[in-house]
Amino acid sequence: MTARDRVAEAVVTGVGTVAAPAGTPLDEPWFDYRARLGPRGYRYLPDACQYLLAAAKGALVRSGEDLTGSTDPAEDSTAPLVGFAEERRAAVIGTNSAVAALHADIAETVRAGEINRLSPMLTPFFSVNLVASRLSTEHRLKGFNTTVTSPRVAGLEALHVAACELTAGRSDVALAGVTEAFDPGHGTAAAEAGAVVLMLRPPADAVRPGSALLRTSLRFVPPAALAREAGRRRADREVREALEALVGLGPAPERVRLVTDGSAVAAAVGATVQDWSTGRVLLSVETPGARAGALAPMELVARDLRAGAAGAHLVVAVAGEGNVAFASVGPCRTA
Amino acid sequence: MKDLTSGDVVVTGLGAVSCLGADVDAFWSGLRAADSRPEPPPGLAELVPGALSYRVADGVTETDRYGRATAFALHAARQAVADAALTGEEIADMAVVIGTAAGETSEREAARDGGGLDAWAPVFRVSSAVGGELGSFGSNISVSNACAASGYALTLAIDLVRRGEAQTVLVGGADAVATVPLAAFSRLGASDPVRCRPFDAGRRGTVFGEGAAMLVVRSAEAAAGRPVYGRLLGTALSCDAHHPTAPDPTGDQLVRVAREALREAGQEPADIDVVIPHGTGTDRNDAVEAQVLGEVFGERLSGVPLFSLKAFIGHTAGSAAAFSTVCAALMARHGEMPANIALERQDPDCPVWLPQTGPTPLTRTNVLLNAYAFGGNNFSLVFGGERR
Repeated sequence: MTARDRVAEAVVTGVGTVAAPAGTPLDEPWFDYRARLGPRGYRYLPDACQYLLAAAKGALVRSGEDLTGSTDPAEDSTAPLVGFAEERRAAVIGTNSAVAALHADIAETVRAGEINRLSPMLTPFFSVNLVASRLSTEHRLKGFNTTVTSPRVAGLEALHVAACELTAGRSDVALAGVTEAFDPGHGTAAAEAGAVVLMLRPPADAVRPGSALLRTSLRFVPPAALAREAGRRRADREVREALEALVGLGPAPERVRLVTDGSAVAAAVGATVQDWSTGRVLLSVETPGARAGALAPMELVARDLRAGAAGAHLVVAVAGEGNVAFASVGPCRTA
Repeated sequence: MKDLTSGDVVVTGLGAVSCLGADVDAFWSGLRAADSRPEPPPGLAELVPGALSYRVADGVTETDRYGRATAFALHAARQAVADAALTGEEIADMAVVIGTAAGETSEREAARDGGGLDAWAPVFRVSSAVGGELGSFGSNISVSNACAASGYALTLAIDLVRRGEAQTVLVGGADAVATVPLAAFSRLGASDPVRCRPFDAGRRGTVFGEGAAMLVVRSAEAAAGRPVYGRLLGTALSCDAHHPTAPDPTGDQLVRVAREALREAGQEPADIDVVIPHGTGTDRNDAVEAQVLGEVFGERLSGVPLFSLKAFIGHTAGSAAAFSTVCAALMARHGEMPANIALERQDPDCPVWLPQTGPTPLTRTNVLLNAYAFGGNNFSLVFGGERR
C-alpha cells in the first residue's frame, strides 16, 4: 500500500451551492424553497433537505458548463442525468447537523408527554439518511445513496467515498456533497446552514473542457497519540504523506486552505501543513473557530471550483475527534 | 480451507455485544437458546407508551466517557481486534468504518435537557472514538444509512481493501435504544407490542434492539497464514428512490441488489446455503422481502433455510447488517444454523422456510444476507464461510 493508493480521483462536472446571505441569523427562516425548488412538494421537508435539493439542482443545471459560471446554464436540471441509467446514478452526502433541530423537537415533544403531536410528515426524517434519500427520489438515483457523518469532515468524506465508489464501478455518475441546518445545540461552536453539491464522474471518463479534477484523501490522528513522541511523529508523517501524494499526482497547488476547530489535533495537523507549505505554497487558515458541522470546507472547495484558477487548490479540514480530510481541485488533464 | 487469492477480502476477527451477552460466545449461545424476550426500556417506557426493546444489560460496557452506542462499539471492537490477533503495528495502520443510525443522539438530548451543552457535541462520533481509542491512523469513516448503515460500511470496507487504501479494516455497526427513534417508530405505527416476530401472521411492527457487532476484514496478503472465518465474496447497494419509509412494492431494487451481490460473488442462487433476511417484523418489509426472495431463488426458495436473526436480538438498527455477518461467520465456524424462534403462525404471504425444530447442519456456508433501510437504501452481501 502506498500513499497514492489512499488518494481517490473524480471529475467534477457541476457545482451547486446554497448559502445564507452574510449576516443572516441562521435560526430564523432565510431560505425560500419556492423560489429555488418550486411551489409544490417541498414544504414538509426539513431545512437541510431543501438546501440539499436546491444545491443539487444547481450542480445539475451547471453540469457540463464552465464551472466558473461564465456560460448560460441549461434550464432543465434533469437533462444532465438523462444519459445515465437510473441504476447507475448515485448520491453520497455528508452531514453532521442536518436533523439536529428535528431531534431536539422530537425529544422535547416526547418529554412533554405529547408523542401523538409528532408530525407524520416530518418525523420519518429523524433518520438522517432520509435527507439524502430524498435526493434519490427527486432525480431517480437508484444506484446507491450513502450518508456519511464524521465530525466536521463529512462533506469531504462524502467526496472521497463517492470518488472511491465511482472508481470501483458501482456507479457512472454521483451527486456528492454536504448539507447542514441550524443546530440548536451548537453551543460555543458557530452554527452552519447551507449545502454544497458536486456532480462527479469517474476519472477515466472523457469530459468537456471546463470540468475540474478532484483528488481526495482521508487520514486519522488518534487524539491520544499526540501525547507520545512516536504518535506525534506518526501524525506528522501521515499529513505529509497525504500532501505529497496529492501534489505528486498533479500540478503543485497554488493555495492551501486549512479549516480547523481549535483542537489539539487541529494544532498538530496545522503545524505540519504550515511547515510543509512554507516556501512552497500560500497557506491560509480559514474559520479558525469551531463550527457545528461539515459545511465550511465544502464551501471552500466550491469557491475554488468557481474561481477556475489555472492551478490546483487544496482544502484540509481537521476535527478534534481525529478526522483529517484533504481535497484538491484543479484543471482536468483532458481540458 | 481454499487458498486465499489476491483480491479476496476475508474476515479474521469478530466482536459482539447484544442483549444475548457481552461477547461472541454469549451471542452464539443466546442464538442456540432461543429464549430472548424484549422488555420495557428503563426511563423510556414512561415516555413512549408500550415501548419494548431488546436491551444490553447494565454494566456490560463502561459508559462513563462515551454514550452507550460508542461504548458498545468499543467493547465489540476490542474483541474483534483481539480475536484477529492483530499486532500493534497492524492496529495502528488499520482503517475503521462504522455504521450507526442514531449515534449518540440520546446522550446529546439528555445533555441539552440538562443545560450541559457548552461545546458542540457531534452525534456521529462512534467511528472516530473507536479509531481514537484503538490508536488507528487508517481512514476513518462514519456511515449513517439507518438500518442498513453497517451494510454500507461493509461495502466501503471491502472497496477500501480492494483498491489498496487499507489492508486491514475494522468494520461494523453500533446503536443504542434511544428516545428519538423509539418515539418515531411508535408514532409511525411501526412498533410491535409483543416481540419482534418477522414473517409471523400476527406481526405488528419491529422491536428495537441494541449493541454492536464488529469484524476485522483483511486483504488476502495481510491475512496470509491467519485463521479466517470466511470471505466477503460479493456485495451490492441500491436505492428504491420511491418513498421515505415504505419499500417499493415492486421490490425491483431489492431483487437487483441481491442479484448483483451474487454476481460479484461469482455465485448462483443454487450456491446459497442460508439466507439471513432483513426481516424486521413490519408488515410490508417482510411481505416484500419474501416476494423478492421468491423472485431471486424461484422454486428453490422452499429449500433454502432462513435465519430470522431479529427475532432473537430485535432490530439493532445501524448494526443489524454487521450482526448478520457475525452470525454468518459463526454458522460457518460451528457448521450449523440454529433453530429459529418458533412462530405462532407463519404468514401465508411469506412462504419462506424458517426451520424451527432444531439446528440445521451445514456442510457448506454460503450465506446471502440483506439489510434494508428507511429511504429505500438497500444492501446485500454474500458471505462464503470457512470452518475455522
